[in-house]
Amino acid sequence: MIDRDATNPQVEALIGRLGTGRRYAEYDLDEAERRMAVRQAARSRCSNPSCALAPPPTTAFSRPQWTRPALDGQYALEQAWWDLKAICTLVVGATDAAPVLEHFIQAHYADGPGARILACLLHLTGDRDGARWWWQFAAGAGDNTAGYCLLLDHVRRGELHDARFWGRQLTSSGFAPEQWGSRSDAPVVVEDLPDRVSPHITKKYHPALGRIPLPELSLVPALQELASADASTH
Amino acid sequence: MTQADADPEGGAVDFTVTRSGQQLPYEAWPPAWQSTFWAFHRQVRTRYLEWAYLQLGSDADAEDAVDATFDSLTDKWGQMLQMENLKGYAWKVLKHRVIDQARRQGRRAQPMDTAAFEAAMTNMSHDPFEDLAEAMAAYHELRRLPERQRDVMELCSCLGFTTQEAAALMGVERATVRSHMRQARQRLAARLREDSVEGTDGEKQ
Repeated sequence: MIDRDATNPQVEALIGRLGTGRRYAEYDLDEAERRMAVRQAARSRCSNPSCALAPPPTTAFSRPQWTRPALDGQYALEQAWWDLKAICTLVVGATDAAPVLEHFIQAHYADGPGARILACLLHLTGDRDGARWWWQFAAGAGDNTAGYCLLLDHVRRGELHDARFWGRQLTSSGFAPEQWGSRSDAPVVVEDLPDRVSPHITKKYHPALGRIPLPELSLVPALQELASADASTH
Repeated sequence: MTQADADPEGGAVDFTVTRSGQQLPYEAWPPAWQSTFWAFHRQVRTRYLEWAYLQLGSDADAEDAVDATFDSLTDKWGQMLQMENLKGYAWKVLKHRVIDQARRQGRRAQPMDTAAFEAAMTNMSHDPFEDLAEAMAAYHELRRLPERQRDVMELCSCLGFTTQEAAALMGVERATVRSHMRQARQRLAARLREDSVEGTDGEKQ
């Protein structure tokens, strides 16, 4: 059994070399506050939309467009959050989701699309790390939709270097999120989804990989029931 | 699951608040918004600056990125006050604005070699060149970590924040910070093992 918390002197030495000084220990916060107050008041008065200081117009959540994978990686935080939820509901609600998930479980998890469906289900139950693990697994197996989920998940968490990596991958593979339909068609998630899904997930601990959620075969009928529950809410 | 479901990483702005028109221009802010905003500004500004400087390697750029962060926060403050994890949201806005600033300067946002120089100056021992080479190697390894682990290590190991300070700044649990640090240590240890195996192979040939 490996002691995971054992300290490695080489690692500690490496970490010790990272320390920098506290650069802003003498920083004049009062002056910064005065400057910011003037700046915010000026922005507030600046009603001309061409004014460089003007706040951007408030946009309600009505965008029909998906976040676009892009080479330069300019992404919007809130939109990624909503888009991830939307794509997860579309993936989970797809007509072939249950048979694909069944094949995935029976084939001992050797299947990208099935891993992506499991990841999306986990995301909707609130298991963000479990979801990310299976998206990475699916994306590693060449599943572009899982790569798109990772892009959105990284943006949503403010991990923008990693988001840009997936943006470039998806751009070069020509992935278009529209293959999942319109952004506004995403079904509403039933409130008790976590209660319906969680009993069919077991958690396995692996010393190198961490905690991995694994699906039971009974998740397949649960997913089918979920699909009919979603349909009945429309 | 509702739109405002609990999200340990901050989630998004609750747009139902936007629709009900609770976003006011700065000059019309109620006193409670004013006091909470300036208290938050005072609490995090220098820490934001320290992290931004680590990414940008320039005081002016760090100030601009942090100013732009607070512009964004001002525009959403009324909504943010309704959020479950205001700090987590603000941290992500900072990360976005730092990337914007780096793009404006035409370079990738990443810990600059200037940070390695500073680290070498801070931890100066007998041989400054050796110190610098080791600090640069350490920063090179840091850049190769997954971003979550890197953020935590930058705050705790480069900038010397305590676990509690880093957790408060990022808007996550202390256990999350500890877990990312542990994973970062494991990853660094694995990489050092790989390097030493490669080194041994090289000697045999």
